[in-house]
Amino acid sequence: MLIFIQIAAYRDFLLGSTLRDLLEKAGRPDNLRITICHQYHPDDVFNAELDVYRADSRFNIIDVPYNESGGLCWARNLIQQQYKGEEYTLQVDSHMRFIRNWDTVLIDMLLSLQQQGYPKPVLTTYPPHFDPAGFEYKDVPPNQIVFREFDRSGVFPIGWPAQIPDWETLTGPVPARFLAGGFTFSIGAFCQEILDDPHLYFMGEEINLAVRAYTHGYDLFHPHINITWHYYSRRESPKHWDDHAATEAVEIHAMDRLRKFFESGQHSSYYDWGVYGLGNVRSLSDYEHYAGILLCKKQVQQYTLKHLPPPNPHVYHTQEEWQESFCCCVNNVLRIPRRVFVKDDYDAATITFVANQQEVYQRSLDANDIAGMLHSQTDDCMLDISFSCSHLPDTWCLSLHSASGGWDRKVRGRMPYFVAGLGNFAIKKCHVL
Amino acid sequence: MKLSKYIISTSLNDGEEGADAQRIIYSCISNVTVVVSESIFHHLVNGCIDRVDNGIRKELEHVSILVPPERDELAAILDGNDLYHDNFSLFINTSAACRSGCNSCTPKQGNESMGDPVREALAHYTENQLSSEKYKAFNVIWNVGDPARDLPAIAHLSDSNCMLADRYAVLYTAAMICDGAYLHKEIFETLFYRCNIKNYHVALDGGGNGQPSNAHLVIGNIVDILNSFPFLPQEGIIFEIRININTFSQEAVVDIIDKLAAAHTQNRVTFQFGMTEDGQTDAEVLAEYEIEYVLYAIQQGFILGILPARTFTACAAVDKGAAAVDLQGNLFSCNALPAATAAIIGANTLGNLLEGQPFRSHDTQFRNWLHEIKNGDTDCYTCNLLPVCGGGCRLKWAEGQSGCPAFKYNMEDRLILSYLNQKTRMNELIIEA
Repeated sequence: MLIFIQIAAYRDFLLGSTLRDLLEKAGRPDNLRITICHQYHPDDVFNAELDVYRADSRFNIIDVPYNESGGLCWARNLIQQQYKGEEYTLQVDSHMRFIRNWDTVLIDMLLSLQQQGYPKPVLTTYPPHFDPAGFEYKDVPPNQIVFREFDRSGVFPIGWPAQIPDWETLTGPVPARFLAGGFTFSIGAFCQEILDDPHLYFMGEEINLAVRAYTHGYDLFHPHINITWHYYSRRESPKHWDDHAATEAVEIHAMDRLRKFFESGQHSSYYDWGVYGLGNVRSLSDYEHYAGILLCKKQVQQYTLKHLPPPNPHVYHTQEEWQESFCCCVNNVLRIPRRVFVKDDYDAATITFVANQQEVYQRSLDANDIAGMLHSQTDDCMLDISFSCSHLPDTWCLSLHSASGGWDRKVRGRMPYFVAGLGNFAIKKCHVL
Repeated sequence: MKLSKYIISTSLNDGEEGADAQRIIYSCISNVTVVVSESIFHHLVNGCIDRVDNGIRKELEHVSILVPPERDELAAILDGNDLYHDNFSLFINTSAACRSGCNSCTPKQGNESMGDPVREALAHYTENQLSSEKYKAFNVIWNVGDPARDLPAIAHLSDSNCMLADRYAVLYTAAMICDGAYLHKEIFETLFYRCNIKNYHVALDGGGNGQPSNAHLVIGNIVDILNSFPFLPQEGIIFEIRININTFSQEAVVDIIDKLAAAHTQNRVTFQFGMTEDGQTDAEVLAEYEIEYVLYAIQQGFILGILPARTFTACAAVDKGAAAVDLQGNLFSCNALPAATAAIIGANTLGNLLEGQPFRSHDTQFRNWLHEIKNGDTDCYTCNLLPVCGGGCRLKWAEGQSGCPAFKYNMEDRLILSYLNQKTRMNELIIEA
């Protein structure tokens, strides 16, 4: 039972150690067929770590100079062209660690799901973080991917890792809404049916794959035990967008394509999706019912916001009732300049959120909340906000009350995602050197 | 390393007692602003780069304030400009009934609209361009007098444009220049949601030429529109109001800004301050008034671009992928061309849609602008603002006037304003009285 392993690596100093761990921890390392898109810079000294595998018949290394790389989705698509009919496929990032016998554990999990009546299961999740400087192998709880918010351009839902509740009692994988590009295991045919869309760049790849997989008849699951670890942040490693100019324009095109992809589930157009469109086993609307996310209207159900497992219950008598069960979601951090807090005895505040001059949410803050905001060491005071509402606000309005002076003047500011979309109108950072 | 020639700098007196003298430096290439001590700046301008701290040197290099000594910066800028030809842009005049009175406008004044034969020929021309697969994006600017009268033509062509953009998988964006006095919310609804026109440039004129000012009508329409539709935060700034300040008193300009501020339109409206194109526009005079109005608008919470961004093509006149179309189907490289002399028109007309192919594209006078700059035929050859202005208005240069934008004459003020804006976040926060 061969496993086609796909690894897209961009100037990653952890690729070598990831490969070593992958092989050492495999129960049947001879059954692995590993294709790596090795996007390299000639000056990176860790490139030589790959040399030991070049004569290994299990490995297929595609060397791409970093300046010729088209980005993550392009690289993953390139790897998938190398699929040769292996029974299973595993897609991982190049900065991972694995449990012992990860391959047999995953295969057994997949087989058990097929026996339960899921012919095309996918195992996927955002693994827990590991620190390469000091990693210890130990059992850790498994993660699921939960809805966090829609991205700042308002196109796609962002998933976030969270521990699976009551994981100790689980005996099998749990249904999933989302897919993680950095860890996905399925039947080999997944590589042919759900090719990574090379016209996307980085953001939005995973929801695109999740929706396409679901509409092609695949069922998404999170493993009920932890299989891998992933190194997040990676500040020391250069990213594709650090090395390439004009990636912002590429991202804009990609987002336009993703938006059109979601709209293709609602109406036909002249856009030719080729192999990158929706499947015909289930519809986009089926996914939206399953996941409780309206991809075009950017709304979610409370059930989804509570991180409860799919499929979302359908307890609605009409389509209209179902539509009305959805809401917008804000999950953000406000940065309020410290100079706004002119007094030192604030004891209460209200913050109101406004969409098109209509109030959509209000929150009251007490003295502790205000103290927490002022605790920040930066020029800005931070306030975590998380709420659902009928319309996404563009403005917040803060009213502060002090024991000495009563209610202060109101301060209005713009929501972070509004500011992020201002482009050339945005306040340019001025670096003091 | 050497100091880039494409920088603007000014002294910064932060007002803090005992503080060292500082200087703001803006890179026209990276569009990044830094603040350094005057002593460091002194080293930079005198070629004593090695006396600058290594960390600061690296940062200055990163933001293109320091560049390799052998670099031909002019060639690098022009070569960079020459790469950007993957946008197909159309400036479409659908009518000649604008009452704004700006003399440079192609349609002049009249009661004509684009007829069916020209419309059909334009759709064919568009498809020919997009099917060439040279373009990744398709931009349309609608130049309209009365949008209600032209709505059928705009809707018909917009449907065609959207269809073609889908068919050839290009990003489609559309904006409109119109007489805001006729932009009622019912018309706007069709333009915004069906025709996909997401940005509106509305000129305000203080009257003259026997016509009253349109300001109160325009403001009323804009406020009505903004109160009527549930705009998403990501839809950002929708209206750019151009105030021809030579037709208004200072009080009247302030009054316009105040009215729109009082209606809480700061998230959806921005301003551009200009002068009517009556052949006597003085950029230096405009610059003097402009900066005062920009500051005032920002203080009222409006979002205005302060520092110009890297510009790869000054305008459609010099962009090989752009064309302006008039009511008779004439294709021009510049929308203001019909108001120019016969010699200039003849050298820059691309053809007529009703006469069919071929159309001139690359060999018109204006389209060789980059070569003219490279050959030292213009003042732009030595100007440090070239990366952010692209050479300014080619038509004005051809007419013997200065084509420099107004910001050439108030860049130092803009630098200070940008610094203050970043420090105080003036246009991010509105503190109510």
